[in-house]
Amino acid sequence: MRASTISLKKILRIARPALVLLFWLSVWELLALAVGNSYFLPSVFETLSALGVIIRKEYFWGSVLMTLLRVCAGLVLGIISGALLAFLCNRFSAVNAVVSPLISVIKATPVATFIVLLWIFLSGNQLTILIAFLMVLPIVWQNLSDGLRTISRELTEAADVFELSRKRRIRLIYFPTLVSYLFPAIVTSIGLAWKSEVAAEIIAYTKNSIGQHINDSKYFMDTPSVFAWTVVVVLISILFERGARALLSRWSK
Amino acid sequence: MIKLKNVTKAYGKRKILDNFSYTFADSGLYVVVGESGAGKTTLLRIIAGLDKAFTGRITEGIRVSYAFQEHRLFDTLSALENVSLVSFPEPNAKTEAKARELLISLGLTEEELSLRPKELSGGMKQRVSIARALLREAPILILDEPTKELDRQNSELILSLIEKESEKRTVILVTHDSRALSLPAAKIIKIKNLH
Repeated sequence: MRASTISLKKILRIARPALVLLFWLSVWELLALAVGNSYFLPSVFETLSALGVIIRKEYFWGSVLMTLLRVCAGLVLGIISGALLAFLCNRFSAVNAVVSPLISVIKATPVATFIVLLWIFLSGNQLTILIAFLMVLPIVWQNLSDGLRTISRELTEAADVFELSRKRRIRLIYFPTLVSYLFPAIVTSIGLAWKSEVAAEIIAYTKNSIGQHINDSKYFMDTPSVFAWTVVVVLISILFERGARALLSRWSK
Repeated sequence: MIKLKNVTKAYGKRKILDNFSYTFADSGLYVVVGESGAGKTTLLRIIAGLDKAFTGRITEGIRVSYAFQEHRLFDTLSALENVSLVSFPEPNAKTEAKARELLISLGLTEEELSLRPKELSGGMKQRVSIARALLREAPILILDEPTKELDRQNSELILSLIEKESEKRTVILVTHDSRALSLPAAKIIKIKNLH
């Protein structure tokens, strides 16, 4: 009796994500049936069929790859710059006084405003990378600034007394503290960078990008394709975030 | 030799040390006593160069070793690694062997050597912190309440080690442990509470 209860629980635990997915797909399908017009809301099957079509297009993987590369470029730039600025702000109060208001402005400015403003000066590629960068920078800066404020003074004093090298201070004091602030910032940044990147691609009609194809599909009133491309965006975002999570947790150990 | 001349330290308007002068010889055991809040730890911090916001003069550039009251062990290192990290510039096999021997002599077991601070009891952490300070080769050894979390047997062991150490270098000890005051080598420094 006990063994069967345990195995049932185990099966339910494994099957639960699939059941949840099935539930939401059913809701979608029912809504699509109720609307009854694929221009407004395509059904699950229409979307999957459109997905089958776009995956077979020769430009599909190239566009996905280019979008992914631009997100990565924006992410890397944002993480490096955010980290550098956080260290400089922590070290020099004058730098902090200058940088803090700028970060507040970046955080408060709607992403669409940035896209429209920067589109005047920059090419599609540069624009989308810069947009991803601008989304990542404040998150990394804020989290690392908070982390740096919590660095134990007691341990840095112990490091002074025992004349520990800079490398060992980083490994023993800074890294363990900052990791718990940096890693969540990276994971949050990935989702945000990805979303803002695609938004910028759509508005700026960036060549060889997912955004370009979403824009085209919308132009040709091909709503199932818009949904199919959105499914691609969501799936890659989830995979990207999970991959990063796994990599970061392995690295932190 | 380390000299303090007219050292005055205040936190805001509250004076902790007022024109404190003292000369510590190259070796010997100095036991600093006084009421809580009298400035004993402040004095140790000034000697160690951790507190520079004071007036007066002190011999500069002397390396110290310090067993902090709060242990201050590194969470990501084992007990053994915490002790052997004092070797300069990087831990080596010789220091690790010495650290192992010292920790075992202070009552830690082989298994406990690989435990991280989070897994150690207060008394164990204290012994690791003392071992780290003892292992570091510096002319001045500072110990802040080294027997605070130890039982009678371990306290006596630590005090005898400290006394032995004071034959080779200057040992400055802050304690409320009356046994430390009765050590034959102990020179008592009384810090008056200014409030």
